[in-house]
Amino acid sequence: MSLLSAQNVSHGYRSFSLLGRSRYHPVLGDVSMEIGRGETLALLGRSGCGKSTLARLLIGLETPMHGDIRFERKPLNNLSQADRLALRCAVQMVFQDSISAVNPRKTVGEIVAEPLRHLTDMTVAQQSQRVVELLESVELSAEDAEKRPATMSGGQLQRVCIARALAPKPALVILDEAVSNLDLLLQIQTLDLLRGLQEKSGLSFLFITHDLRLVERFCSRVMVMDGGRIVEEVAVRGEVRLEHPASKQLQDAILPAWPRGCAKPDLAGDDVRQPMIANV
Amino acid sequence: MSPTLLSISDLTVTTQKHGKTCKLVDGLSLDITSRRVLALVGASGSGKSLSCAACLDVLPAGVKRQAGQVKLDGTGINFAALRGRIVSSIMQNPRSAFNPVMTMKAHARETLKALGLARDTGNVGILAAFRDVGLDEPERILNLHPFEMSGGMLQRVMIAMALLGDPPFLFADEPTTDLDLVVQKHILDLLESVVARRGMGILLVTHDMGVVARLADDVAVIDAGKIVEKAPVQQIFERPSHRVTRNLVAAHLSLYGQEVA
Repeated sequence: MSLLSAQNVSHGYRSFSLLGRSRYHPVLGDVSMEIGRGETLALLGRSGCGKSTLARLLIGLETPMHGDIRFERKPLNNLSQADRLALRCAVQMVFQDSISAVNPRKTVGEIVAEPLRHLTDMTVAQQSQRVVELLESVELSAEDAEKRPATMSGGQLQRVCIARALAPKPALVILDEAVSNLDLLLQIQTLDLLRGLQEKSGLSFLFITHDLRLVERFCSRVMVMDGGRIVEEVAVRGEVRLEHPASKQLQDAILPAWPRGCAKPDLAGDDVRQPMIANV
Repeated sequence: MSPTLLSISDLTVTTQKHGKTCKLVDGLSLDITSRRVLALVGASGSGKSLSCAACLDVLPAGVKRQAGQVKLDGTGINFAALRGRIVSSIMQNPRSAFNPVMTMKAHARETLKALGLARDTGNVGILAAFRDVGLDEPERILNLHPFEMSGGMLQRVMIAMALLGDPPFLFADEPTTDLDLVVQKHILDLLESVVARRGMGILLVTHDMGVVARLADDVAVIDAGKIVEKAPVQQIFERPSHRVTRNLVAAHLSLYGQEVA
């Protein structure tokens, strides 16, 4: 069943200054898409193609100029109080820059508990118990709840952000370039972690990225965006073969696995997706 | 004749933490040869960027270069004398490397002034350098402010400025980390052509083994401030010997569905 969908959504921005307002700058044109329960959908595109704008619309941070965003078939701009709360619980987001996504003055425990304070009627004791559970589910320890963001590394802090997103038991987590700032080992560890969480709780991911390699490892379906439109959509099984020129460009830009002049070993089981192993 | 070998030896960088001295870079030695790309690889926080900064004498406050020498073709030289003249550098985040209220022209003039080039010969140099890095309309771009340009364009301008003084060596500190893959490809192609045409020697700092595979000739792996393995790039990928190197290569290859030998 469709969890969250966009129908013929168009959106754009206009800037205002002392000299008057500028021309309307379209960002999204006629985008239709949907995300079902338990799937991992990749949104792939170059920077500036409108990926993040679509994410902001889907989560209800902005209202589209034209078209509808629907949450469980109910339009977002017309939700009842109860449905709105359900949406806030059901759809959570993790941003690229973890350092600016947390309040440096709060402890990790307070940061993770924030959605619980606003969205649930848990008592303080229940909240702190849930915080411990959440920290452990992202492979941090209960003692980390006392730490402040400045004392943690980028990878740990991104896990705090993931724990915060998981706090209200969402059905969908939007990952807006959530691993792009981490080094490769950490990217793979984080994606491993997310996949494990998905297997346990059946949640969906919208994975926004420009790296096709990660899509092949992590996602079940990929949508390619270019110039504010969705130009291609394919299911992912092993290696992805894309057709559209914009997708081809992204595909061609993938860096080589081996340096030139290397004896390349035979590729075994190429089309079977293997689990990601970070530490051999 | 321009120098062909820049050797850094025993570079040690320290800071004070709770009254104790803490080594951030520990006895690092590197040889950068012209016409070759040496990649300095390691996880975040391993001391890659600090090593670069220490060589160019631009360490942040509170961090000190405790020891280390640098030699140019075997002759000792002052660290501060390297910066801009013998080694130019490009940095990770092009958006924060430019002054937001200055146009590209003002930035280029500043560079020319620092290099002591005359204005009119300098102007010709700017236009040539901009075309060299694939910026097709240099006259238009010179009048733009940083916010009017994309990250890829800014990174190209940064490389153009780095090439202005025609220095024999270039330090590239994560030159493509924040850029999208298509722009990354263009920048890497560009760096490769700079090595081929100008015979520059590049020190490439990165954590992405894909970038290493694409561009590097030699690799030095750094972990917790120490070089743990130095080898030609093929050997690093085919027969990594140290645990840290193996992990880096394994993580990289797992993205391509392959395993380390």
